[in-house]
Formats: sequence, C-alpha cells, structure tokens
Amino acid sequence: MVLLALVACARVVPEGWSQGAVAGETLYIGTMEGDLLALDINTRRCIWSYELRGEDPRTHAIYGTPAIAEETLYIGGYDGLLYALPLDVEVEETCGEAQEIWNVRVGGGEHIVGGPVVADGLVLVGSSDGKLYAFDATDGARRWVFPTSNKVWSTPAVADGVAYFGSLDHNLYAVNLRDGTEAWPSPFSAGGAIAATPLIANGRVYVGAFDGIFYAIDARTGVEAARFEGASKWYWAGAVATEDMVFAASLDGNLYALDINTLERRWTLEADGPIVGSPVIVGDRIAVASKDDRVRLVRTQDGSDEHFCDAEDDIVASLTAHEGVIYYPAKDHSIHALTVGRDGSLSEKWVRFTNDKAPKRPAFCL
Amino acid sequence: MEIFGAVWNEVIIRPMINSLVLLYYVFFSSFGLSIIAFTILVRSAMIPLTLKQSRQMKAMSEIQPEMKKVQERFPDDKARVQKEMMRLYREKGVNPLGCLGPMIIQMPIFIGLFWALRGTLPSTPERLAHLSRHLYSWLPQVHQVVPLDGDFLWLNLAKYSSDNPAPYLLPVLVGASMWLMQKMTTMPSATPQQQSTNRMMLWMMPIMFGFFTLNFETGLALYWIVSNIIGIVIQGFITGWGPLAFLVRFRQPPEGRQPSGEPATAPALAPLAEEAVTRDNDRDDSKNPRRGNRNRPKRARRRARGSRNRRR
Repeated sequence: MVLLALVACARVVPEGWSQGAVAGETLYIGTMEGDLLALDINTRRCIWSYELRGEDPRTHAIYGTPAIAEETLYIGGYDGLLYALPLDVEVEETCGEAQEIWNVRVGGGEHIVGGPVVADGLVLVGSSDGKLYAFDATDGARRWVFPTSNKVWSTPAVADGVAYFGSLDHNLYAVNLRDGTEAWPSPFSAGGAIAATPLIANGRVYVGAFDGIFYAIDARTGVEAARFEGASKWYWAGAVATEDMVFAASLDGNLYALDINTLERRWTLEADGPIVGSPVIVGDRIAVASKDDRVRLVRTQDGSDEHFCDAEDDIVASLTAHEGVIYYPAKDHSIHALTVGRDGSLSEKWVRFTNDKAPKRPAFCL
Repeated sequence: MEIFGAVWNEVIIRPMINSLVLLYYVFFSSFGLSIIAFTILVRSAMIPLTLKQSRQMKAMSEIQPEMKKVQERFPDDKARVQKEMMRLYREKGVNPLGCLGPMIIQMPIFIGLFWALRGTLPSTPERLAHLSRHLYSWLPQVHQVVPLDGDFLWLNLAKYSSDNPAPYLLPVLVGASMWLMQKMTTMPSATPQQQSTNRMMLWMMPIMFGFFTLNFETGLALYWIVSNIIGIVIQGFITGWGPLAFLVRFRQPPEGRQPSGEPATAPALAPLAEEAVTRDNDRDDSKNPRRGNRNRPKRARRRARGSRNRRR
C-alpha cells in the first residue's frame, strides 16, 4: 500500500533526449530540465538559456534536434509549441533568459517529439496529432498541413523539394514542399510504426521500423529496393551512411553495418543496452551511444579498434559531431564533449551538469 | 536482487504485457476491450483462490454467533476467550488465517498487472522505447500493433484520469466499486477493535484508491472498476448478496408513505436484510429496536444484557 502511494505521488514526466546542434562556436542543446541551452563549445560556458513557454510545466521537454537556418534556430517542444529564436541573443548576464522571435501552437498543441527541419523558407514539424505542419520560417504563419493516421514522431528529411517522414501509422510519406501534396502514388507501408528519421542517400530513403526491418526505398517511386531483417527489436534511431555503407542502430543493442546497395550485413557492433539515438560518423570512424551508459567508437570499414567512454547514466540522445568532438547529453543531467584523437581514442574535453543534484563525475574513457 | 528482478520480469511482467498487446490485436485494436478481456481472464484464472477465500469468510461468518456467546460468557477472561475461540475454529474446521493465504498469492499478480498496464500504454516516448524490451521477438503481431491506441469511449487510457474529460468520474467510480467490494468481502468481526478496523478499511481503501486514480493512467482505473465489478459478482454468488441489501432497501419508499400500507421491507427481502444485519458494520443501529442498545452507554448495555439473561 505504501509502495502504491509512493508510485501514485510520483507522476511519470517526459525527460527529453535532445540532440545538440553546433553553429559557429556554440552548441545548442535541450536539457533534462526541459530548457534549451547555448553553450560555448570551447569553455562549456552557458551563453543563454531558454525556458519553454507551454502552460503545463510537466510538458517542458525537448526530444528533437534544433534546426538552424540563417541566424535563426527552430525547436519543437513536447509542450506542443514550435519556437524560433535568434542565434545571436543579447543577454545582460551570463546564461540569461533568451527571447524568442516567435512561437506557434502546432495544431491543437499535441506533443512534438520529432525535430523541425528548414527548407525552401518553410519549417516542417510533425505532431502527435498525426499531421505534418509547414510554417513560414520568417513569421510562423501556417502554409499547409499533411494528415496521417497516427502520431508523427519522425523528423522529416528533405531532398529535391520533397520531404520524407515516417508516421506511427506504419507509413513512410513523401510530400512536395511546394504545396504539401503527396509525391508518391501511395505511401510506403512498413510492417510496424516508423519513429526514426529517414536517411536520404544513394537515390534511396533508408528507414527502420518497429517490425525490426530496415528498409531501402526508391526516393522517386516509393518502391522497396532492399531490406534487412537481422534485428530482433525495433529501430528508433535514424541511420547514417558513408559512400558504400549504411549504419542502422536498433533497440536490440546492435549497430548494423550494411551494404548501401543490397543491405547485406558487413559487420555488427554489439552494445549491452538498447540504442535509441542515432550514431554519428567522425572521419573514418563511427560513434554510437547506448543505454548501457557507454559511447563506443569503431572503424566504419570493419567495426574494429573499439574505444569507449562511460557516463554515469543512460545515453538515449543522438550524438552530434563537430570538428572531431562528439557532443551528447546523458540522463544524469550532464552534457558531454568527447575529443576523438587521431588514433581513434576518446577523451573527455568537458562535461557540464545542468542540475545541482547530479553526481559530478567525469566520464571514464578507454 | 537482480535475479529476483529478472524472474519477476520474465514470469509476471512480460507475459502480462504480451497478453495485453495480443488481446488488443484480437479485439479490433481497442485497448479498452483488451483491458476488460484481460481482467476477465485473470479473475477467471483466480476463481479457485477467490472461492477458497470466500468459503473461509463464509465459515467465519457462520460461527460469529457462537463466538459472540463465548465472549459474553467470559467477559473478563481474555485468555479463556482465546482458548474457546481456538477450540471453536478447530471444531468447525475454520482457519482464521485462511482468508489471508489466497490474498497473499493474489498480491503479486495485482502488482504485476499494475506495472504491466503502465508499461503497455506508455505516456512518454521514453516509456514507448522501453516497451520494446518487454515484447516477445517471436510474436510478430505484438510488434505490428504498437503503439497502442489508448482511445476508449470518451477517454484516453494512456492519459492520467485528471487529464481526461470529467476527471473526477473515474476516481468516484473506482472508489464506489471498491467500497461495494469491501462491503462484500469484509471479514465478520468478533471484537469491537476488529469492527472499528473493518469500518476504517471500508472507507479508507476506496478513498485512497480514488485519490490514486487521479494520478494513474486511466487504463488502470478501467481495470480496477472492471475487476471490482467481477469481484462483487463472484462474491455475491458465493456468499450471497446480503451485504448489499441496503441498496435494495434504499429503493423502497419510507414507512408510512406507501400507498398500499405495506411495511418498508418487503417480506421477500427479509432474509436478505437479516443477513445484512449480521454482517453490516456501519449500519444505523438506532433504527433497529433489537440492536439499538449499541448506541447506549456500556454500563446500560451490560445491565440490559444481564436482565435478558435473567429472563432466559
């Protein structure tokens, strides 16, 4: 009874898993507290912070990656609002509160989980109300809406005037940016929900689904070109690619390196926990984080020469790389910067804690 | 501790979550129907335990008059009362802790259900990602239907009750159904202390669960309501509907205002009402001339009892 009472008092609140974005010398990243931070990438100094404006503070969380275009940063909040902030915010004090250019309620204010993307003067963002919205990037005016049958948690990917995005209704859609009409005769249907961000490469759209299958779809026709069925659990992370390989991370804890044409497996990197966030390519190596608190770095060619850094808590966010440094937040309210050495080694550049209660220990790297 | 966690997960949580998701697949992608079907299945599976518990309760109830007599015979000798009670239990084949055994066995199932329901209807992206760990990879149907649609009637079962329209309706329904359930299953009390504990539980549990419901996913509230209703029905068939007889009485017009001039309690309902009187813990005794002396001071009651005994 006491246990039940404790559970009843502890509401489940969204925490967020924002990926960082780097512009100039600044890292823009969402925190576990639901704020957006601008940090100096060299000194980890907080330049400004921004608290989401949603009426219910319990919905203050950021899951998507900030999108940056022409001195403006766009971010979707779990509070159902889309925000546009100036990159050069003038604040009077260190880490002062920034002011937005505009914010708009997306649809009925349902949760936003995917990140926004900016293309052709439009900001595209998916909503939990099952629609993809296009807003004018300058003033936030709504241009068009594309409906699906379930939540849109996938961040759209744009190429050649077409936006590709997945929906939890099992479909992958291709929509013309110009007017929001369908670019394919019919959407591509997978065997499970699609929450991952599609990857466009090699004239194809690569995406994994909740049926544990990783698909390669012809970007022009929407017809399946190849598939990989080796995973035992869902795909949540977006894929990344080199010239000849595509890398798909699954919640079964494996990073699969696949041939970009045939999707045949080249090698597999096994982690001890599910991989939720997307991996990142740094030179000739690929880094991936998993819920076993570890960031692993291996050669893209054969998955060899593994180096790693351990955090104090789960890492579920996607990794960001900029000039040989990997940035990511961990669930222990920390933001890490890891330097990738020339020999492929990892070392901690800095760590910043966003909560006083967080255990302030540096990452252990080997 | 880790082993316990793994066993708990594999034996209780995972089968429950996969069953719930599979029922969702079978019942037209309605999680409300899935919860109702699942609750019926679980309650059916536990019928042997419920029967055992109820029979023990009934037996306890039947020996209440004799236990009362024992207490009246030895009002100042507690040790003797205890001894006589134990003898009575032995003779009648009643185990005073017999009701607890099945209850203890049911507890892990209910706690597991609580976590399974919470895990199956994730309210945040983190929880949905976590659900993947619980689903069997050899059962493709369960992966196809995720994420489950929580809409049922006017409710979203994934949302907290307080975030749904008519936020206080479900807590009230949970509280009311639990009160009725408690009323049906309250152990007959032999001592005033036990009686007072029973009365406290009768009100405290529904109020607490009603409060919890506000802060739980609505799916759990639906489970509790359905589970309580099934429990009431099962209990009613086993031990009778006596404890709920007051509901029938409420529907009768008050005495003296009936057009036909019949008494307030119809003859056909008399046995039911009588049974209710023996079990009912919070009745208004002042309205019953035979039990009205409960509201009198203790000394007066003792005097009245003495005079009754002398008359005998």
